[in-house]
Amino acid sequence: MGVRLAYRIRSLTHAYDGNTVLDIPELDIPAGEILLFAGPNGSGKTTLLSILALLRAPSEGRVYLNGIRCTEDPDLELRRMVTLVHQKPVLFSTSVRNNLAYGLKTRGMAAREIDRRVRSIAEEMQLAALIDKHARKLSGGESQRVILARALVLETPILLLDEPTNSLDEAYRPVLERLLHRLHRERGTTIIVSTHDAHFLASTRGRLLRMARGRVLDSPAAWVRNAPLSDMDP
Amino acid sequence: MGDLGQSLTEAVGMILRADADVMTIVGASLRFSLSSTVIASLIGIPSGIALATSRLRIRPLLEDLLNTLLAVPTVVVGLFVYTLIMSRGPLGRFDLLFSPAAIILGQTVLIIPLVASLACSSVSVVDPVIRETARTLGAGRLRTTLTIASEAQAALLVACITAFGRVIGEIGISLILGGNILGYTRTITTAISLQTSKGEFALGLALGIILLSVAFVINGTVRRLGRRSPWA
Repeated sequence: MGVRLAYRIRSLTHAYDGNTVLDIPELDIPAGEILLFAGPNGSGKTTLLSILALLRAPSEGRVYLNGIRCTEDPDLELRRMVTLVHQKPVLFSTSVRNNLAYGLKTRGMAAREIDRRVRSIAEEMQLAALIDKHARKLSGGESQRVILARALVLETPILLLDEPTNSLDEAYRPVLERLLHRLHRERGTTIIVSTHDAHFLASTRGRLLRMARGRVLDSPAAWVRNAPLSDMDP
Repeated sequence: MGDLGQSLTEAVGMILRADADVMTIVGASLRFSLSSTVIASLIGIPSGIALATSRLRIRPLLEDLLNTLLAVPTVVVGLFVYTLIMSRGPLGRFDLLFSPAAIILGQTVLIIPLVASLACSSVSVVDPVIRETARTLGAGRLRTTLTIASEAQAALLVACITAFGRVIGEIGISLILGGNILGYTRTITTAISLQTSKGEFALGLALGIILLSVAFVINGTVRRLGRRSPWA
């Protein structure tokens, strides 16, 4: 019996205004994997994540999520298997509490359960003191913690993070890493991260694939790491 | 100058003692304008949001059409609605002509494009990441749209207030469709027009001062809300 795949990508290309920004002939991402895409700006990491998040359809090729082919207008239940944390920390103009509860409310969860989960994630991400503050009054670092918490609280089977440490204060990086590893260990969450943060790469275990000019440079089967790499040069 | 001074004094006196005619006319104007603004907002805001969030190829054409309708004179809208509700018109059997309902209908037709156009603009400038964030957090189409609208709420309110400002000061529709009947369809602007033609300036001036005050309040409100809108 083969490995269960979170994603199966075949002949994927994506172009903006005739310029190909993504070209991935074949890539399998097993369920429960931590996969790190490293590469410079413009290497196609963000475009790839937005395709994996089902926010846009590729120009050509096929993407299968959990064995189901993703279309231009994917089913809501399929979309709810994935959460993407954008690189840009954009919060809804309401309280931190409402931001954290947003995704849970869309799933029609009971108010009591929403409250419990929101409190729990706020404690873990050290946001409890900010819970009733308006999101627009937060600092950049605080906003980043809220957008991470807003995604983590959903506990979706697949979590996509686009440069998650960009605006994150140094002190909170270990908190994020701890949470990601716990999600992976306890819930088997598939975690896909795009980053060019050498520290994050060094301290996070997982398969590393380097990208440049829209292509994956490493062979898809390559480089399963069992220990943090400190000598990585992304 | 003497006449103007005397008329102004009389006008201020009428306002201070809450003259019955002034209050009736102001009350009717506010009722008609508020009603048409509410109805136009209920139609125009969802239409504008739908247009802004749609992927229709003809969206630019529809936006141009909306913006063109903004320039239509009130008398033309009045004439158009008149042909609909006159006794031989398609809505003639409802006997609406020269009634408050006719004025409200005409004013609503006038400002729906304005509300829709401003709603479309205000939603269009909401950060696209908001939409993607709502979707990636599991929101369906309706909830995503409501979230985007919520981000533009100050600008949407500005759209409603601007529309109210447009109808409170219009005269063509009120005159053609309302018939300027005292205590029934006479509005601030039609009353000013009538009083001026009769050479009786005091009531006209009193109403003019009230209209200016309303405009002042509207502008102040729009400016304050505008600071909080995505346009700012």
